[in-house]
Amino acid sequence: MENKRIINHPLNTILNPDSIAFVGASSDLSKPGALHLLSLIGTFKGKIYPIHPRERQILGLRAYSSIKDLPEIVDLLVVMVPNASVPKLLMEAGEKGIKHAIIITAGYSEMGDKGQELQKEINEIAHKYNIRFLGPNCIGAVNPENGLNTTFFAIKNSPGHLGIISQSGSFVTQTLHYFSKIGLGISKAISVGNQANIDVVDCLEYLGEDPNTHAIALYIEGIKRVRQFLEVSKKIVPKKPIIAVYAGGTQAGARATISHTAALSGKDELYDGLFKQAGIIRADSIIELFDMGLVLSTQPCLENNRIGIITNSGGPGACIADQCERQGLVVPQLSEDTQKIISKITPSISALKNPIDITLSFDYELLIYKLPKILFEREDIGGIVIYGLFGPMHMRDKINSVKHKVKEIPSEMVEFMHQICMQACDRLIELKKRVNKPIILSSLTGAEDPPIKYLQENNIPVVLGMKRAVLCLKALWDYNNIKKNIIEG
Amino acid sequence: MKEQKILSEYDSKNILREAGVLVCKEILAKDLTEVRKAIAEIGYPVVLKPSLPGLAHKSEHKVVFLDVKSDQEAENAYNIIKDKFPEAKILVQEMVNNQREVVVGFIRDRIMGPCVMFGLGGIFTEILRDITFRLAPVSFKEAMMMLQDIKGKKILESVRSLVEVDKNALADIIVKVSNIGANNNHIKEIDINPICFNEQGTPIVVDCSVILNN
Repeated sequence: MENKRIINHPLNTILNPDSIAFVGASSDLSKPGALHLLSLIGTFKGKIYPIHPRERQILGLRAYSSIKDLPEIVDLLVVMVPNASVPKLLMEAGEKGIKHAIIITAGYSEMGDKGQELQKEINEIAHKYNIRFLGPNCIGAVNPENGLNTTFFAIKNSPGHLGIISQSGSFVTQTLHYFSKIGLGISKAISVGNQANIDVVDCLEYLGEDPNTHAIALYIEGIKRVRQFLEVSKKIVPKKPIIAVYAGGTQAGARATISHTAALSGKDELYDGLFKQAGIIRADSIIELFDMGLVLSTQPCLENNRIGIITNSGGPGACIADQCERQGLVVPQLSEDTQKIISKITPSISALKNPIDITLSFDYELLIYKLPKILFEREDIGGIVIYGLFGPMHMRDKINSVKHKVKEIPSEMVEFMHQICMQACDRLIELKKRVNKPIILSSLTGAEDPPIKYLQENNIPVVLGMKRAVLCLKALWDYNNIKKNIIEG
Repeated sequence: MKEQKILSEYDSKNILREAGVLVCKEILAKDLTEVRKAIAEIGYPVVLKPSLPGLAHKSEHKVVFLDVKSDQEAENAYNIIKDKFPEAKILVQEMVNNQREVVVGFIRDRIMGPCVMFGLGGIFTEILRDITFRLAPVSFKEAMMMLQDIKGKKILESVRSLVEVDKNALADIIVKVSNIGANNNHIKEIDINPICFNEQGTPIVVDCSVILNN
């Protein structure tokens, strides 16, 4: 049943094409038509047919002079020509038998009456030929699994499990580098633009069924089919969490969104109610959306809201504890027995009650493996936040900064640190698999430090800062309650 | 602006009464004699206010008299109301304890369609805007969740000398209002503010204004 629904969905072909024709292709690297095509050439595993009226060769690929001349009926047509030329092209595609398109071109309903007329025209043509399309006025789609990327920026991170639906192309493409920094793997990212044919609800339906998508992140400027949005979301939320940012609820936001995607925005409080009714977790910003998306797409449920905090620095530990309580999470004092056990393996100046603070100890295994293990085994806690994993990068920086002045530092120091740090990471990864409870690292260092990158690649999210890490735990806890409510419903 | 029609308080409440929502005891009187008769039936203390189609925000006109306790007070109130709104009828109501006030509303939004609202009532609706919306109609369970969704939700609990309010009954009002609105396209807006609570914590509609589309 699930598979059938997926196979028949228009987005299934759009996101998993075997062949793509690209209209508006160019070899001139100052033109968008070249830059988008390059992204596609870089990673796409299927066939690419650039279309150009005169050139025979574009960016190393054989070019075709028209849609009619294509050697096959392609699965997907990508359109990047000026808006007035699109209707004719779409008709040619229809005559050829092409059924799916991404129309990147802008200048439609977001551009007043004339644009609206044009949008109506392409809608009618699509309807006549049974063409389903994304856009217009969108950046297209990304699927890291097969390398599909019709957008401007290149895919940098391996496939993951967050599906993204956005009314802004920016959050689908300009974010691709950011995702690699925070270790966020995406399953699919779809820019819906003006939603002339395929809208947010269609995308939700598809990602709701997509087995590689474990959580869905939305950037919303205005929903066209509100009731269907509510119904579809309600069906998805028991299976996977949905997180949303809505930007059209203020006067300034509404003014920006109407000229951006012609979205009919609504009052913030109405959207807020809609999200609550649908069981959608609302994020406050794009950064928060992707933090939460990272954690919700990789972590198991937070089944109780009691949190263990392990740190080697007092301040960050205090901030995490303080934020937990502010967000309605509990930081329970550990039992006397547990404290006694911990005191035997930690430095004498350590704080033992929770947060456990091993005060500037660089014992990696103690910090990220032994202590979490004891907490999970002995205490009734739902999840753990760890702060203070400083990998070999920091030591290398230090050595580099003094190597002209201090000769005594052995250069193998960094390599040694690297080894023991990675070993400790391996043990944490293995522990995480065994306990199947959320573990989040709070850090001020990102993927530039090798162990951080290694943990990110192994489903242990590393979230920048303390509050941001706690907000992710809170989102996990909210999702747990939303699900419970629906199931008891 | 499309043409619209604001129903009188009494007619607005009739819509609620028909749907089985508990509305405060009240009698519509056209002159002083009828007012006295109504007071005799309801008993002091009472509330006196004008009931007139097209009149919203009565308290801004200083024509709502709460806690009227004597014949003299009643007559003064009657004269002031008649002075300001000669064509108005007088609504004589029982005085419901107004220490706690909540609001239930309905709007028809151009994008969202029918929506139901719950929140802190009285003047705090405007001052704090501690309110929450859902698409209408809502289920009983959704209504119960709305009660938990405002910052001031503790007002529904046992606070100071007040008993916990009957949340089931309050949620039931939200469900009914959401249905009234969702099932009647000619209703543009319903504003029930305030709903107060009697000694047992039962919610009672004290004031209501319904706006119709034409």
